[in-house]
Amino acid sequence: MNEIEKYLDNVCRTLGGSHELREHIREELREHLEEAIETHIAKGISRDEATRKAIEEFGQSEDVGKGLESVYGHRMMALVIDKAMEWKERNMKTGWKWSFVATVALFGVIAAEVALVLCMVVFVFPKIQDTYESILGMDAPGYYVATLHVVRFLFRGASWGILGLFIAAWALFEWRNKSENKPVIRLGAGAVIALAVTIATWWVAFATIVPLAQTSGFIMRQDLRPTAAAATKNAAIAFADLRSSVAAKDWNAATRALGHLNRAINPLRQRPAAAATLVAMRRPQDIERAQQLLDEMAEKAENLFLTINRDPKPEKVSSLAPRDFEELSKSWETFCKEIQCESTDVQIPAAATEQTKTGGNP
Amino acid sequence: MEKNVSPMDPELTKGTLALVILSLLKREPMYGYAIVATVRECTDGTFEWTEGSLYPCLHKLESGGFVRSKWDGEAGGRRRKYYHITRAGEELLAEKTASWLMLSKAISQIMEKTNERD
Repeated sequence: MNEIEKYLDNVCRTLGGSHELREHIREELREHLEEAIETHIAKGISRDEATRKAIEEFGQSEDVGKGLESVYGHRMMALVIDKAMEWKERNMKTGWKWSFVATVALFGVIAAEVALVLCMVVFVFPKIQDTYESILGMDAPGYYVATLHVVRFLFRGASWGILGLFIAAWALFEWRNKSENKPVIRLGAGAVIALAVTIATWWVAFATIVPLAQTSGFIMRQDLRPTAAAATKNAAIAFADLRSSVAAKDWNAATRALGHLNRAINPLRQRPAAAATLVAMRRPQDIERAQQLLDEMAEKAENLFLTINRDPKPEKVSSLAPRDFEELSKSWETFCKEIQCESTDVQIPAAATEQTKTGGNP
Repeated sequence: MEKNVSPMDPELTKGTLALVILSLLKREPMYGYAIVATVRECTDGTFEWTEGSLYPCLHKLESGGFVRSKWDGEAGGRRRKYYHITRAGEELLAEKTASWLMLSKAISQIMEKTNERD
């Protein structure tokens, strides 16, 4: 490309308007410059010198371009690229140390994110799986299962392949790329990888945190009676199968029945509360009585609270509060007596009942 | 003839560029390089400007409807874009000329009085 075309490229680089318009302007300016060159050559100077002189007389390409942009506007993309290159020229050439620090920091972030995902896969995912399967006896959400499969494939099946590919690509880049923009390209590639890994990390975190939040809620509110009943029923069926298999000396069927038995009793083994529920379910009337007493006690505690806190007159509080407290005390004593003596082996500390009788002073 | 005057203020040149172009085009249709050559010849090189600054001004005048352009030239030879002044351009030239004469007169008066005091 000759000097004239380079000059015209610079003039029209960020110029707005249609392609035809730019070509039209280029042609007009080219004709002017070539006529100027011919005039200088006619005065006896060389073509190169004449070209240099003609361009010099025409003025700085940036100034001419800006002048034309004031009429036709500018092209946004070219302008953005120019500004980015200007910024790069200003900062990156002198700031290679910063580009090195930025690259190291970026790859540090990538390594930290990969380590976080690895920790989740190794330590957290099995717990969630176990919670769903053994404790809640329900299927894990689809997004969790899909994430688990993808992450396991990446870390177990394809991890060496991905790592090898990454190292090979990097080595190839370092070996083949000789451009002065190398640090910027390296930083850009690192930023793209970091963005992708960040998105993956967020996804894995989502797939971990949401099931944890959901299962903890389920566990706290779960009515264990259906779980305990289903586990007992399944265990009974499995045991019957086991009995008939052993009698028939069908050891394969016996092995399967043992597996069923194991899966049936696991929810009871791993959750003491489920086993306790199983015991309590044998005396449903006692559970209802305990709940009735607890409701009664809660109501009387509420009454005492209102008496103490709603009436602003201290003398009225002094006269009414002991009466409410007495009511609450009676409920508490009934609860302690019935639960302790007739329903369960729960030992209510004697000090606690004594404390209520003496008005809270040990 | 050797040029022995100080260079003109570029800002002053820029402000009068439209006036210069319109007054030359009133004589006859011209293309860019011819305008530059004529100005150089008429002013013995006193009117200093970068030739590229002519085109933004010409295109601005064209987009304002003060001049019109037309490509002309023989096949295989040099093609030239000729600019013609329009009626609106002539009116603008009259306004700019009047304005320039007033300004020129006012500045001359100031300079004369300053010289008298000196």
